[in-house]
Parts: sequence; structure tokens; C-alpha cells
Amino acid sequence: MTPLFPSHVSRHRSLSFFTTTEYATSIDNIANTIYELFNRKLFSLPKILLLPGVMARQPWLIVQVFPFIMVTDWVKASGVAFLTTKIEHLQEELQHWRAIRTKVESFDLKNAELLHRSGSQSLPFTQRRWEALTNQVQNRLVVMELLQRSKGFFAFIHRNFVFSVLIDCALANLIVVGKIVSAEIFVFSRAMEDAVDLLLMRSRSEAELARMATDLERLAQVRDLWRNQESSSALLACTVSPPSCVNPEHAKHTPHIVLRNLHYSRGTAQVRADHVELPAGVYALTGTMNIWCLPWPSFAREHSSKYSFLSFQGPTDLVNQHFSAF
Amino acid sequence: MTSQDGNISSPVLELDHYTDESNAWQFYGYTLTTHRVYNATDGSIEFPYQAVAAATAIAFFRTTVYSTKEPMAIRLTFAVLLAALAYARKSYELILAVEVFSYSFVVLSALQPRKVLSTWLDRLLYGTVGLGAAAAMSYAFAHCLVTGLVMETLQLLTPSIVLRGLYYLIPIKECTEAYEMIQSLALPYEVLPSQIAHLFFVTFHIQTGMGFLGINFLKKEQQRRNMLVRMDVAGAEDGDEPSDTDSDASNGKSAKPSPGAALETSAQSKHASSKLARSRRFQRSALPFIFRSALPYMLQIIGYGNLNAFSFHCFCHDLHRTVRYHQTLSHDAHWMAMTQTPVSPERKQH
Repeated sequence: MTPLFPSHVSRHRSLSFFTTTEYATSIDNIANTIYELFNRKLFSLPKILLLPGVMARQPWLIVQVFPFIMVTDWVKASGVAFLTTKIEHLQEELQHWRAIRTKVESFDLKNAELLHRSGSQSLPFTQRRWEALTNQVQNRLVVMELLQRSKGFFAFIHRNFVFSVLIDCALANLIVVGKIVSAEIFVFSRAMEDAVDLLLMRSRSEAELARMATDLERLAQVRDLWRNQESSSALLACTVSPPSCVNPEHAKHTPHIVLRNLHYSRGTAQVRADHVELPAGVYALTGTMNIWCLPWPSFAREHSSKYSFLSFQGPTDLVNQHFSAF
Repeated sequence: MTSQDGNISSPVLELDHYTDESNAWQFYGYTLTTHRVYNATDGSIEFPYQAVAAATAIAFFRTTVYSTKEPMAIRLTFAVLLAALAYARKSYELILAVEVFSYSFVVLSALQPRKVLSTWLDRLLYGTVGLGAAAAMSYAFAHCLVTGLVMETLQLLTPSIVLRGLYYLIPIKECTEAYEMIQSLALPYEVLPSQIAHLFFVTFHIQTGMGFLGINFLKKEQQRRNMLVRMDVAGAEDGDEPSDTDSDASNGKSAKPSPGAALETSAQSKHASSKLARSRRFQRSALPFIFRSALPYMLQIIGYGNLNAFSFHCFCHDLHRTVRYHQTLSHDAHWMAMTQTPVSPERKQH
């Protein structure tokens, strides 16, 4: 049985599955992550500055309580990091499958007429394909939501019933030695939380940093794609041959364009031509099509276009040039 | 597409990175666009209300973060001066120098040795020399900070093991990567450093100022909580029944009669009335707390927080637009790279 999706679809996270919205969202996420990391820290800075004056006179407090706080937080961070990695992986897969589904659906809807004319099995096939894609999305979605829920509870319990208890131990010491009064309990509790938060900035921001890394990777891909496209899409140079250089045999046909090893497809129609000569002029290509100029098979390049123009002003030879002008 | 010498040049689309204010959406008569606005008078392109945000942020900070010994008039004078400098779009170096000087001025006044400076001439001399030195040092500090000299010196002086520890604890590497990525995508890229500087300026002053406000508010809130707890604790210390017994009685459990019950009943009623008086005092203090502490804190948090958020959204939306269409449409190649959709996955087999 023919598989619904070619193996390379699931293996290769093709860049072209993402849309401009997803790239724009990626840069939003990056800016948000960095900003929130430091925005909160700036807010807690005045409270953290209260601590050195108190702690300098109670150095044993740091030795007695802070190691426990750090160890419990490390345990929590490890657990959360494990879950976050799983969630992040699932989220990435989910985005990938959602993007494929969107594109497949829009492609099928766009070519509804072709599907309709392709025989009685075309609609059931489309249905199976859509169903399989939805299954891929929903299976990952349910696992991801369960993991997110578990992570949320784990973090909540740790923060409210483990971390706070240890902070209270430190506050009890400070109250006993008269470093703080009862009205400052809340402030110093928050100050200690913020200080620990600053020290464990990386481990606590594991999820955000993992997401940001994914977004950075995605943006790096699109940036590289743009750069590659810029370098490879230098339009074909059209040189106007002086009349003296024109072969007298072709003089009656000049100006003309020579295309070699051309492969052109549109819908089900496919045309191959080793040598094509066209009179020079303005050509318009409309609709979705693929054109390959094949200097040799390994360098085959695919180009799609909805609407493109080429203008040639003289005898032109495009031998062994790829057709990136389209 | 074809140049005069016959070579086809790659077309680069010209895009405006700002919007005309007249086209912007308005909120109760105020333009709240996050697009950069072109200023025809000086030719600058900046976010709307950028100068207002900077002036408000620094005025808020200077009036919130102060020494208890600092007179209100001095505080307000410096706040107005700093706001005026920010509104006039003076350099951050100058604004920072004045800000540092405003605090050193207070320190200098507090440290003035009044016994030694007996005559007005001594005090004048001390003031002139002290203020001059403070001004020079403030400007030098601001210059070193803005030019990055402070950071470079700190990096040189900090032991490498501490630096490695900092890199381990704080995601500096990730932030650097993110900055480089944003820098590589920003259009025009010269605008990015000034945008980040403005955002940092506003965020630092507002968030740190709100942090100081938060400390005072948390103390007041804790005092109220303590009053509530003491109502029960003070009652128990005075000989009242513990709260558990009270709750048992209220649940309908009958108390056994004991010798001297009448005496106890009288003492209990006295303590109950005292407890009731404390409870009423606590309840009466609720409204002043709400109107004098909670509401002003809430309004400041909302107002200044929104100003900070607006500055961030201006920056973030600008980046969003850059990726969504400035970069995509700035070059034919970018556009072509993004227009390979929709394509059936099967097509990818080719």
C-alpha cells in the first residue's frame, strides 16, 4: 500500500512548511523572553538590595539554609527541565504537523476541481489523508497537555510547600536575632525568593530558553534561506551581442534566446526539451508551474512561479544557466 | 530589471519604515500606534510618545527613589530637570550624569561637616569644590557607563571563575545570540541600538521605581496582617479562650460548668469587649488603607506599568513588522523564498 506521506515528510522539517506568521511569532517570542527575564529582575532589584545588609551580619544563615533551597530547587529544575524538553519536542512536532495539515488542506481545496475529476477514489483518499494528519496533531496535543498540567502542579507544589517553608526557616532566624521585625516578613520573604530566583535564573527559565532556542533556530533558517536565495537568484545576465558577432546562419532569426536541457511541467503536462530557441521579446508565464533547466541531473533546480516576466533585448545564450530568473 | 549596460540587477524594494500619524488609529483622540513616526521638523524617525515616556519614567524614578533626608523641593527640582532633558531628547550620557549628580548632591549635603565649616565662607568653599567634584565624577561615570568602559573594566577585574559562574547562572550567551539574531534582521539596523537604549532606559527607571514602591506597600500590608493575627494572639495572652475553643462553642458543643464560673464569665466578657474594640479599630483602618495605600499603588502600577509595556510593544511590534513584511518584501529573493506555498508534500519528492 502506498503510504499517505512520503518518508521524507516526517523526517525532514522542511522550512517551507512555515509561514510568515510563524516567523514573525518567533521573533515576538524571542523579544518577549529576553524582556521578561530582565523586566522582572529589575522590579525585584530594590528588594534584593535589602539583603546584603542583613545577610552580612548573619553569614551562617547562608550556610545553614541556602544549600537546602538550592538543592530542592535543583531537583525541581531537573524535573521541570525533563518535562519541558518533552513538551518542547512535542510542540515542535505539533507545529510541524499543523503546518503540513494547513498546507495540504489549502492545496486540496485549491485543486478541488482537479480532485473532483480524478475519479471516485480521490475524495476517500483525501479524507484518509486529512484524517491521518488530524490524528498526528491530536495525539501529540493530548500528551503535551497532560505533561504541561503535570509540570504546572509540580512547580506549584514546590513553590508553595517546599520553597516557602525553607524561606520561612531563614526568616525565623532573622527575627530571633532581631534583624527584621514582623512588619518586614513579607518583604524579606519576597527578597529571598527574588535573590534565589536571580541565582537560579537559568534553571528557572529553562522552558522559555528552550522555546527561544527553537525560535532562534527557525529564524536562523529563514535568514540563511534568504541569503542563499539572494546569492542564487542573481538574475541571468543578458548580453546584447554586437551585430558583427552574430552568426550569419542565425542572422535571420536574431535576436533569439537559447535554452538547453529544459524541463517544464504544469499540472499533469510535462515537457522536456534539449534545445529550445525563442525569438527575443517579452514573455509572460502565468499560473503555478515548475521549470527546471538541467545542466546535469544532480544540479536540477526547481522553481515555481505564479506570474513572472522576462525581457530580453538581444541574442541571448542561456546554456548551462539555471533558470532562477523565474 | 535590466540595467543600462545590459546586466540585470537584483531589484530591492523600497519600503517606508514609518507611518504617517494621520493614518494611525486613535484611542479617545490619542494616537496609539506602535509604528515609528516620521518627524518632519528634525527628520528623525521614532516611536510615538518616545520622549514623553522617557521623561515620565525618569521623573517617576527620581521622585520615588530618594533619601529620607532629601528635601521635597530638591527632589522635585531634579525630577523636573531630568524630565526636561529626556523630553528634549538630550543624550543618555548627559541625562545619566545629571541623575548621578542629583544623588551625589544629596550625599554631599548629608556629609557636610557643620562643626568644621563654621563660617559661611567655609561652607561656600565646601559647596563649590564639592559640587564641582561631584559634577565631574558624575559625568565621568556616565561617560564610562554609556561607552561600555565600566563593563569592560568589570570584565577585566572579575576573576575568570566568577565570570564562568555568572555565565552558568545567567543566560548571557542565549541573550547575546538573541541580540545578534535580532540585529541581523532589524531594518534599518542602525535604528536598533537606539531603540534598545530607549527601551532599557524606560524599563529600568519604571521597574526599579515600582520595586521601591512595592517595598513600602508590602510593609503596610504585612502590618495589617499582623494586626489581624495579634487580635487572636493578644486575646489568648490576656486570658481569653483560645480560638479553637471559640470555634467549638460556635459549633454547638456545650462547655462544662466549673467553679468560679461567674468570675470567669465576667473576665471573658471584658476581654470579649476589648477584642471587639480591636476588631472595630482594624475594620475602621480598612478604608484609609485602601484609599491611601492600595489605590495609589494600584494606579501607579497600572499607569507606569502600561507606559513601560507600551514602550516594549513599540519595540516588539517593530521587530514583528520587520520579519513579517519589511524583510520579506525588501528583496525579490526573500519574497520568492516565501512564495513556495501552497505546495503538496508529495511535490517535495522531486
